[in-house]
Amino acid sequence: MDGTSRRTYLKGTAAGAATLGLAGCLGFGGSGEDTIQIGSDIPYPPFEYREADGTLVGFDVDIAAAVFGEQLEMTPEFNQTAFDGIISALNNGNFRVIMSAMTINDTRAEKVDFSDPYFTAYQTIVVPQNSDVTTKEDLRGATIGVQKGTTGSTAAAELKEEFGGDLDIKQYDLIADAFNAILNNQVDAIINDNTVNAQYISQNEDQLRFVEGDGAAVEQGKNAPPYLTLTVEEYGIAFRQDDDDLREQVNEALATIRENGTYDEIYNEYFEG
Amino acid sequence: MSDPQLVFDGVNKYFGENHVLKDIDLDVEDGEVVVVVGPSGSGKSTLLRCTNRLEEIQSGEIRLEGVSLTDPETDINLLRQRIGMVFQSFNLFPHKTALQNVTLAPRKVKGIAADDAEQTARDLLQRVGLEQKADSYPHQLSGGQQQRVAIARALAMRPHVMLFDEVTSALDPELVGEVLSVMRDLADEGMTMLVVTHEMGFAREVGDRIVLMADGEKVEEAQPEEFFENPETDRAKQFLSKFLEV
Amino acid sequence: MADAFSETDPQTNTGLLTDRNVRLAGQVVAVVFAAAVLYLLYRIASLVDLGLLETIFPRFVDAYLLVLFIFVVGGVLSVILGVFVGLGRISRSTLTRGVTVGYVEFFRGTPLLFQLIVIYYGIPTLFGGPDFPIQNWEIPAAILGLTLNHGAYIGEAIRGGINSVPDGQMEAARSLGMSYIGAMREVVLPQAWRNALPAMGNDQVILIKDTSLLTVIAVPELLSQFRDVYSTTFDPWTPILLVAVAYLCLTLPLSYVVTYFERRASPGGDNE
Repeated sequence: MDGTSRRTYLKGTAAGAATLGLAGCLGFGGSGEDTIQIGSDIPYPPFEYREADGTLVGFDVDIAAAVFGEQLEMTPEFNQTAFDGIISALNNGNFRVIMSAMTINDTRAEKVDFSDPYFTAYQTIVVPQNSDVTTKEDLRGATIGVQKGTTGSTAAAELKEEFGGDLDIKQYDLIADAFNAILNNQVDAIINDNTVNAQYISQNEDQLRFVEGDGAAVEQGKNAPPYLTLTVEEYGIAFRQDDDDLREQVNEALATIRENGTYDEIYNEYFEG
Repeated sequence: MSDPQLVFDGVNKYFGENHVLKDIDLDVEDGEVVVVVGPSGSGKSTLLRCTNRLEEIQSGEIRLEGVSLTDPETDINLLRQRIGMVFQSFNLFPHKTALQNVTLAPRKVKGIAADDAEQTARDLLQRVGLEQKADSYPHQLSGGQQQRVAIARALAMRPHVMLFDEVTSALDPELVGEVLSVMRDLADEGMTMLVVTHEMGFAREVGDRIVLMADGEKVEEAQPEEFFENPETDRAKQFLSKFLEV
Repeated sequence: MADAFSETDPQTNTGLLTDRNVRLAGQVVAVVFAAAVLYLLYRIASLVDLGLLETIFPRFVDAYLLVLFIFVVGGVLSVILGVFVGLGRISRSTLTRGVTVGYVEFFRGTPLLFQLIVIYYGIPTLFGGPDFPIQNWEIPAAILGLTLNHGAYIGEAIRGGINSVPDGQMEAARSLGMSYIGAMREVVLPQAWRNALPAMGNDQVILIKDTSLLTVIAVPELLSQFRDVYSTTFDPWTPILLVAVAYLCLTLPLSYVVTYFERRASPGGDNE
């Protein structure tokens, strides 16, 4: 089952703190057989993706196991959903929550309610190794690849406005498709979350690199990676607007795993320092 | 003495296991009208279709004016220009007018200019009595009219030999006469004709020689008088008796 | 002898399904369906945001023109390819026939979506990857995929059309000394074309709708525009209306064009 092996591992190391947390936020009759459907756009490494043998892994997957699995004693089940329709799918009842490296913003907050932030991310730019692009301005007249419905897509649209329309944007269903495109000389650059970009770059170090420089993160005084950042964003778990009870429980669970070190453990597994 | 115009030399044909033409020897002289009669399944239509290679023979030879039809070296398209064929089901091109039916092959095969082809076509249509119908489409013509256009179409290529495959069998009785009349005129003008038909009256009056076929074999061959008055073989007598029974 | 035609006899062999009842039932269903549609349209009308409509209209016009372009080019190419495929299918050469059959079986037997993905993502990898020479490969890939796929269907339609032309037509043409190609071109194909037109017209309408699949290879066609608008505004019905109208503005004119060709190609019509 998805996440089972990780659950066992985490249980072993966080048993003590988990028991305390359980006492506080248990409200479901505690049978451990409640399945919770989680909508997610897979693959989006390193947040949710499948290994070669089909096992679902990733930061979101592990957080879900810790929050829903351990803390709330439910069985998380991830449902593959296209990202650009994922909020509508949530509101149509296809699943209970969204965990898909989803950025909290005002437009989305009109349709869903978010948990407390559980991750900070930045929109960064990926280019081929031999590209001439070293600053944001160099992207004038270039072709950008983005994933449909993401904040990367929005950032690209804003960039296009900034350039007075002098930017070509190609929208892909999956972020993997966009990376395929950059490796096939179909786009000059990709705008997307930094950690996901880092994952793909690490698998293609000879071909791809970040655009370096200071950007939004530095401006806002955040602990940013050394790449050009266009925005600073925070991920949240999305709930239907009438699901306040569950949302509050999840917020408590998030707080708990931050305090007891589970969060840091999971974080360190996927992100160095 | 030169070869007759059309020669069938030991022709054999099989449809699978079926031996449909058995060792056929037949000569057709220049200007002769040879009428082939016989019961259904006797192979007479097949013989005709082998003459312009719509069907292939397995052994023997067919020669037109000394040129072997079955030789792989022979340009069959060229040879077919010298052989005109008229079909039982007319086979006019439905998407073209009568005039266009007649001018198509001269223009596309022989490269004759449109005006010349049209003039020839109108002459031919007049000859078969249909100059008024030049711009009609086949579906607007009666069966007899369509068949006459088909004859004009075949004549447009100026063939040396004309093949007629039961050309009146699909016509209403009243329309048969007009077609046979055209064929008679053609014979009088000296065209070499190989005619498969059930029309005994025509065979008797227009034919120079009658050939009776049965079960793939040539059973009897004679001048019309002898054939109809004094048939030699039993098979011929049997065949003719059926016609007299009406 | 019993009177078999008494008017008071019940209709024993049809029961409830009398002609009159069946007709009535059809009318009832039609009315219910129409009422449901009208009600839906009324509800939808109140949800349409005219301001948004105005804003997004230009991009839908661009998408419409793009789909029209892809359809015209792909349509023409697929018909041309289809003629060759149809002829290849009936070739007397086993090699030609075999290759053609293989082509048709593959492109009819695998999903168009799969074919598009292979062409768009697979071909550049074979030919240089980052050095692949064509930067905006999605449009050529779209046209190539649609042409190859629909060429197979058109080929079968034309083969059917050719087969329904009586053998006597080819025989008559060849008896006049015409070559195989000449006979095909002048006599058989014009008739086959007429026979195949309904099937071909059908296929071209499907081609228009197949352009919606191009959204997965990053072609900014109609469906892509809808997804983009919907994911940023969460207003479905306004863009849905535009998409529906746009597709109808492609398929309905096509139907008229096909009907026009059918009428022109019928016997007695001027075909040259």
